Amino acid sequence: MFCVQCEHTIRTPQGVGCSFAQGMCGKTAEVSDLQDMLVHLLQAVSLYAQAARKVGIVDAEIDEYVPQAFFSTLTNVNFDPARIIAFSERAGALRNRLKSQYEAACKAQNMVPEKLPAAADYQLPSAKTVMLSDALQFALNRQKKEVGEDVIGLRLLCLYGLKGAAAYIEHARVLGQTDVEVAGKFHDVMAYLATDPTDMGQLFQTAMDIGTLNYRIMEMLDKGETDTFGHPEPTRVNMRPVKGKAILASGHDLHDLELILQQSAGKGINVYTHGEMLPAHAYPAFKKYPHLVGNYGTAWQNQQKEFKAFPGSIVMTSNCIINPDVGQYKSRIFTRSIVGWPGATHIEGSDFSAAIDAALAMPGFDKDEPPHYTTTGFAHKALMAAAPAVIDQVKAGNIKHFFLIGGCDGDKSSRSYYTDLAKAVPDDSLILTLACGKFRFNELEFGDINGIPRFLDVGQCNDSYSAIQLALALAEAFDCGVNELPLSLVLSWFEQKAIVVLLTLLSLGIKDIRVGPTAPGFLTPNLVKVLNEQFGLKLISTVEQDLKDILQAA
Amino acid sequence: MNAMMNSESYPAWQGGTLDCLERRDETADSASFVLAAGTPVRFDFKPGQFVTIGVDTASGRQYRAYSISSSPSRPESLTITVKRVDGGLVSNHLLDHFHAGSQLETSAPAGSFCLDPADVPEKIVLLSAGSGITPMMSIVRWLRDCRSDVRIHFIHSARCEADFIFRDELLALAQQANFRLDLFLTQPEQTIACHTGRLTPERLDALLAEAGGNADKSRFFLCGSDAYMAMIEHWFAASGLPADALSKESFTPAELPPAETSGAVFQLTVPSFGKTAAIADGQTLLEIMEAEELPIIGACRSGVCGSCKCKVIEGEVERISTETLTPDDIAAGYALACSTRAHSDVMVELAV
Repeated sequence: MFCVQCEHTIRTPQGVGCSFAQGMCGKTAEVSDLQDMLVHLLQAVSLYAQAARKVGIVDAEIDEYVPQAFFSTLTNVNFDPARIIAFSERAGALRNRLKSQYEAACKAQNMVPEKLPAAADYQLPSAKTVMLSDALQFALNRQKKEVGEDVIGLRLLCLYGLKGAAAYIEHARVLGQTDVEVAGKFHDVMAYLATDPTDMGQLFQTAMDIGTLNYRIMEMLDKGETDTFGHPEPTRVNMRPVKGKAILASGHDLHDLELILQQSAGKGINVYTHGEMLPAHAYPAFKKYPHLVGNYGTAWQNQQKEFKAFPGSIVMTSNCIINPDVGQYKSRIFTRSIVGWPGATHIEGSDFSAAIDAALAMPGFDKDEPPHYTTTGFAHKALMAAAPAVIDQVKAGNIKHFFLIGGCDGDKSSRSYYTDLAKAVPDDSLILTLACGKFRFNELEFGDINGIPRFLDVGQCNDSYSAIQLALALAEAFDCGVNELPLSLVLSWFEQKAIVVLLTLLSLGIKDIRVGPTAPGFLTPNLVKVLNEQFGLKLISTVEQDLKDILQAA
Repeated sequence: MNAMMNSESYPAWQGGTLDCLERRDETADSASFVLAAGTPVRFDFKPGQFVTIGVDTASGRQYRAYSISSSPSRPESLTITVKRVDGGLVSNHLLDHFHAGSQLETSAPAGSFCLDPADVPEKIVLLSAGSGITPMMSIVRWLRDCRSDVRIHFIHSARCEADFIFRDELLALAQQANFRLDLFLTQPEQTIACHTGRLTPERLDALLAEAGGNADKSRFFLCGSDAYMAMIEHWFAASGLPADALSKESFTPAELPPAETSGAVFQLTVPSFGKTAAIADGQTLLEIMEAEELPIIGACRSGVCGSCKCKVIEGEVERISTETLTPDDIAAGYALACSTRAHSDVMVELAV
């Protein structure tokens, strides 16, 4: 196996990347290699999808399937070899179908079919042993010796960034948002990466193009969420359990949460959000469910302890799932969509009765705990409504700086930096946050500045779209560029959606972003240097040093 | 022959410091190191066995097992062949820093993947991929020195010609009687005769038939990556050949120095999982916890990554690596299961 996609990957002085029997996430070498093969087959589908578009064939099923299956290879999504093989088989079947359609269309139009790279026609072997021996040639660090680490690093920046974008495409699709042009661009990048490109300038440009594409995708997802569930409004969320039977909804999929709420209504079950599902409380559509009682637990890396203690069933609608055997709750954790764990029950279709029955069979919480609240829901509409007041306070000199501190959480102790930073920013600053990185500080009290809360939870990771909208509005109000605003972005990253959000920010020309707790393992020192030169991208250092630098520059 | 005869009277090597006499770069990313002791010794081993070596790297003293590529018929020195691996702490250290005059700690040869000189079949099939070729070389070299009557069918897979370790020696051997070489290259350059692509069960059947059949009278030796080995083992089982005709060794790094063991057997218990299992004195916690199917992650398996962190509640253990643990962790009982040995009954909990 070779996998270097998450922040947790093995780093030794001799090399970076998980390359032994298991990844740090617990993914076995078998699953990792099968995922490499799945990616190779999805690229084959995209090669044909790209060619087919030139003869007028656009296949909605394929446009939907490729990003969806690609999502299954994201960190902490699917650990089940049988499911990964099934995804590959379907990819192979779709490619074969599209290939026939394409060749027939070429014939009908008197055209010679394009000569596609050999990867386009790779046939999935039937025996797993042969798949695994084949998979070795699809290892993501293939050709490292010939092309060098920088090229591999840029290929991975593109591949992992596109994987993050694929996750958002799938989340948007679930909410009815698809776009033929976005799908076409997605296939273009997949097809390009299938050619093992070596031109660093072109690879770098592709990474920026992925960022631009993802801005459009986040816009679609935002539209899907707000059209379906309304515009988030600032909402207090109880972070403590209440008495009664319980279901925990984790992951990012608001549509699944709605189904769970509908189907569990009137059954004496309370529903809790977990992790990235927390911002759901702010959407008007969810406020009509009195049994959506609060949020349970913190960020994903604490789940083995928190889920173990949760006296109900758990539904994983997307990442992050980690080994449920550690806390011995596999019988009451359910996976959805692209998520998988060997032996855990997978819910297909829209019937959640298995999870509901499991919750009813569990004792539930035996008492109410004293409530403790956090506030979420400062998405773009709420932020825009508050913008005039914020602008007044900035002009009056009462708000001097904006910090966006957010991104993924993880279990490295060095991530305490983000808590310490949130505590240390001056009192005349506002803190915007998003994604599960917020759990490092969202139960602290930050107070307000003349009625404007100092702590503004914008939402999930994809709601960085809202944060960007606020930045653009402020820049317009102050008649300057975003980079001239007293705004500092200090991001934490763990998986590939954070990579694509970073690419989006860079593609928008946003400079001087700080990233931590470490640089992505696939970025070589050379590439980090280039990003620093072009965008002023920096790694976090110490809270004292970074705050000093940020406030002096402002 | 002189060296051979003289060395017969020398004491057998039992482990200790060896000097590197010569470094031979085999390919762009692999090299052979010819090792000898300061005083005359006899390296007594069976073709195919390995030695465990210890070197000091930036991450402290590290131990790894390496197959011996030389033949015991030339016992005055011992050669290991090392290939660069991504993230390979010791291999990469050796390739970057080790040369004639360097020294390293070496255990006595060991391992059950070997050809017993006292029990040699009439035909041997060697199946290797990549650096899995190293123990095969020891077997080939010994057979050529001592048993040229034995028919050898050597089937090796590599990525390209430039990655073919021992290329020249094997191409020369392929001209000799009783020696057939089938080389599989996924990226052939057409300068040497080879098969294009990968070895498959079908191709293996065809080759063996072409080489005169008698698979049932052959002994098979297999060494390569897990996936390669899985493919061959699957074929082997499906072909109905007797299990004892196949010897195999995986590249999976054997990380630790040979255990100081009293032979005592203790109990390892994991109360929250209701598991109790036997653990030999000196055995690592990870070996038993994995065998018991406990959900523990063994990623690097060499005390570097910290994924197998667990908590020792009771019992006497020896922590060989505590790389990712803080002093507070260790005081609280935490240990890295891959690099922690039991020396009494132990009670362990998974770290959450």
